[in-house]
Amino acid sequence: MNKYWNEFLKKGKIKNLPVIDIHCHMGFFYGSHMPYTEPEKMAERMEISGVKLCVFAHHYSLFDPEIGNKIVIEVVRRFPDKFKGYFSINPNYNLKDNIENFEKYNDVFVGFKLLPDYHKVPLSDRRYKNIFDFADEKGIIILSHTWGGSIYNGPIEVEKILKKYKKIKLILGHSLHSAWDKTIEIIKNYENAYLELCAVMDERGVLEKIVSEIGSDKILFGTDFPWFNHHYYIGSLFGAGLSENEIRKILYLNSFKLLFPTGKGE
Amino acid sequence: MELKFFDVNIWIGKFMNDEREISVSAEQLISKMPCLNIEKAIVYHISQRDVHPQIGNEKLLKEISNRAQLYGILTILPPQTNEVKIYSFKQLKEKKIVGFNLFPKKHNFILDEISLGDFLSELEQRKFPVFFDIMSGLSVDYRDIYSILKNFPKLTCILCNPGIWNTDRYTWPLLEKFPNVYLESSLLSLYEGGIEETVKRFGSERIVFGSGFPERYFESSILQIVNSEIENKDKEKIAYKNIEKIIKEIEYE
Repeated sequence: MNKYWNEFLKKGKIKNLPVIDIHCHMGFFYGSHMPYTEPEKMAERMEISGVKLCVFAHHYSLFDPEIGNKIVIEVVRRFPDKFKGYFSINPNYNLKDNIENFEKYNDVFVGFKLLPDYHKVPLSDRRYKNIFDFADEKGIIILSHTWGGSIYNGPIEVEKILKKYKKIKLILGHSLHSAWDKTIEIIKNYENAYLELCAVMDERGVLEKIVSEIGSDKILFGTDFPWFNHHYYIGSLFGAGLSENEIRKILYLNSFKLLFPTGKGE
Repeated sequence: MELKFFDVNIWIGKFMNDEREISVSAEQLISKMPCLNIEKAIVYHISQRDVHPQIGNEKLLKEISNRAQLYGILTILPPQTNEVKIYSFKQLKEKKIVGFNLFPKKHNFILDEISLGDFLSELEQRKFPVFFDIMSGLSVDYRDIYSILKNFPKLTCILCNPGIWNTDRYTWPLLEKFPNVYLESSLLSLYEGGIEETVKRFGSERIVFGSGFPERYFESSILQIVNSEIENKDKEKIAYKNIEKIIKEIEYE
C-alpha cells in the first residue's frame, strides 16, 4: 500500500492533497433517504475527508430549475470557498433567460448540468442547442449524466455532441456506465471529453481497465455527494491499485485545471 | 486505533461472466487479507449460485476446510426435490458453516412457509443466520424479506448488498420491528451518512462488516468505517465483534 493510503487511514485526509468533487448535489431527493443534504452539514462532512470544493447541482434545480438554481446562488454566496454551482437545464421548462442568468451569476456557476435520462430529452435535441452553442463559444464545462444503454445520453448521443462541439468541456457523468469499451474509445477520440467516476468505482475492475487504456489525465473524481460517501470512493482508488501520482491527478489536479485553467482560483 | 476486520460478504471461485476479471480463488483471497487487517472472512463459492447449490456447496467445503481464516455459507433449495446434501448441525459446526443463503429468483422457487417453513423454523430456534443478497436480484426482494419475517420474526437475517441507492426506507422498519435483523456494512458505507445514522438510530450492534469483494473493493469499506463519525467501540463492534457474537450464539447442538 502506498503512503497516501496510510495517511487516509490515520487522518481521513492528506494535508497537501485537497480533493475536488466535480459531481455533487444538495437537498432532498424523492427516490431515496439522504441524511446529510443541507449545505452546513455537507461542508462539515467535506472537512473529514479533505474535500476542498464540491461542484453541485441542487436536486430541485434538476427537476424544477425555477426553484433550484436560485438556491444554488444563495448557497454558493454563503459558502464561496466550499461550493460552486452548475446551472441546471431542464429542457422541458422553456426558460428564456438561462444563459442570461448563467452569465449574471458568474461567481456562482462554473458550468451547466444536464440530466437527459430523467428529462427524456436526448442530448442532440434542439431544445439544448442554445446551451451547447453558448458553451462552445465560451469553452464552458457541461456535466451531463451519461449511461451506456441510454437513448438519451448514451454513446451515440454523446458522440453527436462531441463531433459538433469542439470547445465545450464535456464531463461524462458516470463515464457512460457499463459501455466501458465505448467510454475508452470516446476519450481517446475526443480531446474535450472527460470522465467522471461516480457509480464507476463501486464496480471493481472497471477503473483499472480505463486507467490502463487512457491513463489518468482525463479522469475526474465525482461522487454524487450527498448520495455517496467520499471515503468509500477514495478507498476505491486505492483498491484499484492506482499510484500516488494517478490518485493526485484524479482527486484534485485534473478538476483544478478544468475549473481554473489560468491556475488561479484557489 | 488499528481495527481488525471479520468480513461477512465475499464470494470465491470463477465467475462465469467475468468481463471485469474480478474472480478470486481462496488462495488469492487469503493472501490479500493480512495487509488490510482482515483476520477472518465468511465466504460462499460462486458456483453455489451460478452452477448448482450442491456442486458449489461441496466446492466451498473443500476450499475452507484447511483454511482457518475462512468460514462458509451453504446454499439451500426446497428440501422436497432432495438435490442438496443435508448436514446435521453438529457436522455444520465441524465444517465451519455459519449460515445459509438462498437464491430463489435464480434457482426458481418460492421462499415461504410452504417450501421451507419447517427448515426456517429450525433456523429461527437455533439462531442460525440466513444471508440474503438483495442487490443481485437473484435472491429475494424486500417484499419477500418482509413476508418471511412476519412468519419467522426471530429469524437471524443478515441483509447483504441492500441496494445501490440508500435503502433506509426499506431497512429501518425491519431494524425497528425485528431484533435479529442485521445489515452488512459495505453499501451502508457507500451511502453518505449510512453508517452514522443507522448507528445513531439503532445502535452499532445491528451492523456487521462486509466488503462485497470481489465485486467491490475491500479498501472502500475499510476506509469509510475507520473514518466514520462513530465511537471507536462502535467501530470495533461493526468490524468484528458483532459477527463473532452472532456465530457464538448459534445453537449447533
